[in-house]
Amino acid sequence: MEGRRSEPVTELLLRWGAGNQECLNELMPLVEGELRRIAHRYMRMERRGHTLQTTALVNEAYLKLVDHARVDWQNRAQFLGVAARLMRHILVDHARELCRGKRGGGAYVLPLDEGLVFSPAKSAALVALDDALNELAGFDPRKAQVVELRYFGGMSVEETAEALGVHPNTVIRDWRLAKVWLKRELTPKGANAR
Amino acid sequence: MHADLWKKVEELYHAALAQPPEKRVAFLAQACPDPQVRGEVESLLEQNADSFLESAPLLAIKALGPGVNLGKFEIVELVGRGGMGEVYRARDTRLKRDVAIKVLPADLARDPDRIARFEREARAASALNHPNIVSVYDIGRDNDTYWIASELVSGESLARIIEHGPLPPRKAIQIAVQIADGLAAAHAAGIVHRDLKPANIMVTREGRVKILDFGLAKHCHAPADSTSSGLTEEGTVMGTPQYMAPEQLAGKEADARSDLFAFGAVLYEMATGRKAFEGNSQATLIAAILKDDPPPMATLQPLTPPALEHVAETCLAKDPEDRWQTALDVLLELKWIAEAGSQAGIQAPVISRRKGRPLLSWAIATTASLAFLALAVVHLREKPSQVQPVRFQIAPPGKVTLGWVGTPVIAPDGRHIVFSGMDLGGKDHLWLHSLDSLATQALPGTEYAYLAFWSPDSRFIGFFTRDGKLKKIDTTGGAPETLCEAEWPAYGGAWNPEGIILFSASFNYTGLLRISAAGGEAKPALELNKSRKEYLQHWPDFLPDGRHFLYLSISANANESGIYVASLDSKETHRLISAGSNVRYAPPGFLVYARQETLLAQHFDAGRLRTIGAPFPIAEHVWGMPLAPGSVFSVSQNGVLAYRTSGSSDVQLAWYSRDGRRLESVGAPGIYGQMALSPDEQRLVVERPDGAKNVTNLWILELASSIFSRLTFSDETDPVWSPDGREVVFVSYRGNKRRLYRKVVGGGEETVLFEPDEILYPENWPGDGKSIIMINVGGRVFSQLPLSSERRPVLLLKSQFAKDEPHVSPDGRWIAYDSDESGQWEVYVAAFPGFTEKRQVSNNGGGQMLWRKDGKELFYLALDGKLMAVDVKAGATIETGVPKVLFQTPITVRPTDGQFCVTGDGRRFLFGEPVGEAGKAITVVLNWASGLEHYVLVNH
Repeated sequence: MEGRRSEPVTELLLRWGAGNQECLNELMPLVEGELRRIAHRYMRMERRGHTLQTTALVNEAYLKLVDHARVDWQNRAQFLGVAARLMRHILVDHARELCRGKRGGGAYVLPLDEGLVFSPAKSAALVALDDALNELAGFDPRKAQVVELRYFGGMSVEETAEALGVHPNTVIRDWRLAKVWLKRELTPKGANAR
Repeated sequence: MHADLWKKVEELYHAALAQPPEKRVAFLAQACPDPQVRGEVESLLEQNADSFLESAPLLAIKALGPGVNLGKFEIVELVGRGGMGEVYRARDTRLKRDVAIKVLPADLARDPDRIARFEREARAASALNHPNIVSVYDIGRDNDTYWIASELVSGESLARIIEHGPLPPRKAIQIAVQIADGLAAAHAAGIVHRDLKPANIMVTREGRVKILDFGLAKHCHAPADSTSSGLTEEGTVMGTPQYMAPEQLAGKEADARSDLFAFGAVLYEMATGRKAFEGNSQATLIAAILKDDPPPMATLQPLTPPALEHVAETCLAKDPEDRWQTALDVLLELKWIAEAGSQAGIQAPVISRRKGRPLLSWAIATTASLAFLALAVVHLREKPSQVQPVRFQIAPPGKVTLGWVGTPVIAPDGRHIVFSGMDLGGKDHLWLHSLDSLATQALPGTEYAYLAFWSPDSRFIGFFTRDGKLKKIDTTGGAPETLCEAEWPAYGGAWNPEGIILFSASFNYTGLLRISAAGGEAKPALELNKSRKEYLQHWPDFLPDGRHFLYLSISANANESGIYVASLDSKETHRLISAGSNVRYAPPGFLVYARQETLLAQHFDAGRLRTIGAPFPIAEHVWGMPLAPGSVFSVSQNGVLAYRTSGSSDVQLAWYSRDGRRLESVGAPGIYGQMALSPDEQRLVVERPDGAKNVTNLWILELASSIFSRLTFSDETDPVWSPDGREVVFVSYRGNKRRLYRKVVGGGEETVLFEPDEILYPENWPGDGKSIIMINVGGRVFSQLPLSSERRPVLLLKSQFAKDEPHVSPDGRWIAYDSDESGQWEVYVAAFPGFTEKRQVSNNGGGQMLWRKDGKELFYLALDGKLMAVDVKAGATIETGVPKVLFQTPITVRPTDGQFCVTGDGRRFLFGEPVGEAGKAITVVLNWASGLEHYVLVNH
């Protein structure tokens, strides 16, 4: 059953890697579907109200969708790039929805998990990050991509470098500056920086 | 921000960063004349973003809560959590009425056939329109959430009503008539309930009966095909089989007559207040349903009309053929009884039991259901899909609670489980449970045992005791033998076929040790790996070859930690899984380990020592290990998995008055450890574990406002207030060093108070403020740490017996403490600091004694949770009166912890009321690995 599912995605991935841009359009809904399914499966297995590391999702999607025997390092990087972008969209859509709603979309405080409060505040932070990233992409698209791949996709420096076609040192410098800029933008003016 | 401007900013930023910090300002001033650019760069340099965005974002789950919409219904609030899912009150936004929405577990969501059938049945149930059946309004699906909207019934469930005692016959009949009426209507429509029980029967204030969950039980419990047991479904935990008919337990499809069996059990319970069948484990309960007859109702409730008893009895016949064949028959009979009043003995109209139905032969009981009965050795099949996992729970007997670790360890042959349990005396023992005879007995001579492991031949048990020893005991008889010293707490032991025992027991950071089961000296087995900065090796587990073994390695470099494999014959080790958990090998080729509350299994090739594919979950709600990251579970050689079930360990803090009246709650329910009231009684310092990070932090709770604020941030325990209430002293484990710290509450630095060579905990800070009383691990020694510059502990009391909770009296002349020297934990008072003139204060067990502010009364907890008060007359000597009971608390008493607080005037008490059923049971799964092939991505 797993084998069958990986065929179309592997094919698309390989063809996209070979230069066929259209395959990306076909690929994305498949990956997105899988990410959502995995996310829901995890949510059901954990107690309702739990949170989940997105990098785990992305990794699992990769395992499920791609036949590793046939793809190489570069293809994987490309897949992860796509997954990272989709993950970001899923997360942010989700967060935006939570920020709506009369009573803030249901704030549940989980007794054991201080810090994992499922609340409008955290979702709002994610939405703010998304907005800031979009702004960054306006004048420095590569840095925005680095953040997307590393933060939403959980990719390592090497993987990110591979996906973007740059030297790992460039990734490190981009990451550092991007983080600093984002942090400054996201810190409310006049707030005490810890 | 302009792209060009940005480029300049970027260049300068990195250039400035390359300068040493003190030179940066100057560098920028020189390198960049443009104030705008310079300003940007400076503000960016100010930001410390090292940890920003470094951990992956968390996908917050759209929990169902107020305001969320499902179809045209808007959720108002959660009203209950049943065995089959959560129930919410919701508002039908179009019809403007309140409904109940039940959200079903989405294990269903995987099988399209099941879903289709569910929808068909829900539709059929919605067609049922009967005053005694809860109406189904709508069903729907929201992503993977399947929900059912039904009539919202306000009233009490029959289960609740019966809690208050048996119902008078008239009332029982009235209710029974309505249930039968509803059943008859449903059966006529071809719908069988399958899960009828008092919890599913609601009674409104007007006395109207409403049956819930028609036709749904099947989809939550019954399988897709009829060859497997009706009890488990791909490993879902079955609810209680309390009301299930024998044929259902044997694996047949339920039919109308199975509903009638359940009806009979409900009727029995209504009339007598007792369950028709009882057993102290699921297995014994099932055996009772299959074989035993319930005690005659008249013996329990003499006023029961014989006719009513006859109805119940007939419904409870073991063979469905011998029961009433339709609910309609039962209904007519009951109506007759109701009308005839209490004219017992009058001949009832004979209603022929229609045997027109074709003879239903008993289906061949499957291996799974046989396993339920026999519970003998189970072998994994070649074709695992034929044998379903079977899951049930074992509760320790009577007054025994699972010990501090309480790991249920299954013997390799799968026939016994050993666990450590504490009885009312507060002492841990080893208990042996036989899966064959279902008997549980304490093993004599195993006092203070907290962790155990089996020999490969399933005959011996190796175990660790709180007084720091590793012992072994022969389960066929004889006293335990001590093998060697093993400092508490030990972190696991393993026994190979050649009689070599590996164990980890030491805080002094050595690696695994080995000793021969025949006795001798303990020697190092595996050196700590210096290059990885490894400092702990825990939880050894041998692989089948008896030479290689698994263990958990913790290194200073967190990314080197994980589950490793090594061997007795070489120094080579390599990592298998990067997880922070104990691990066990299970044939035919799995590694089982934990991630938070889930147990994962991973295919493993023991020959080539490598993992295959991805791990997959096999159990949830597994109790976490108190000793270290990991979970409390074990596996046998033949497919049996046992673990300690977690549950909500939540506790609600509350104030009580001296006469036992509950005054008020404080804060929200949560998991709280030891607590202490500040001297001004305005604040509480309390331990709160952080499950995600596996540490404990100290928090301050402002009692007036119920606001919590965090006091410590790494990993701290054992808080003690200073007599002036300004500071708290505690133990911290940060940096892997165990030190005592002091901290001013509400600001300020923490200063190291003391770094002991051995493990010491602060217990009490007496009123003169000059010293702190400490206790060592295992409670053998009380010492006193002066707060002067001479920071060396002074020995107060040392003995071979455990003691704890020392509290000096307000006038500084006496000290109260508890000890188990008499064989049971009792509370004592003695002169301070000499510990002369010792007097025993409690008369039948107790712990945690606290003083009233004027020193004239003492309070302590009896071992069964009663709060006790004792008058004190202190002069040249001390005299204590007879302890009197103030009131019963719900606390499960641990004499070595601080579980309650009392105000200085002795009028109010604060402690936690347990909210959930935490960690009280052991779940056993037979054939846990069967049917799991399809979960694994095989990747050779």
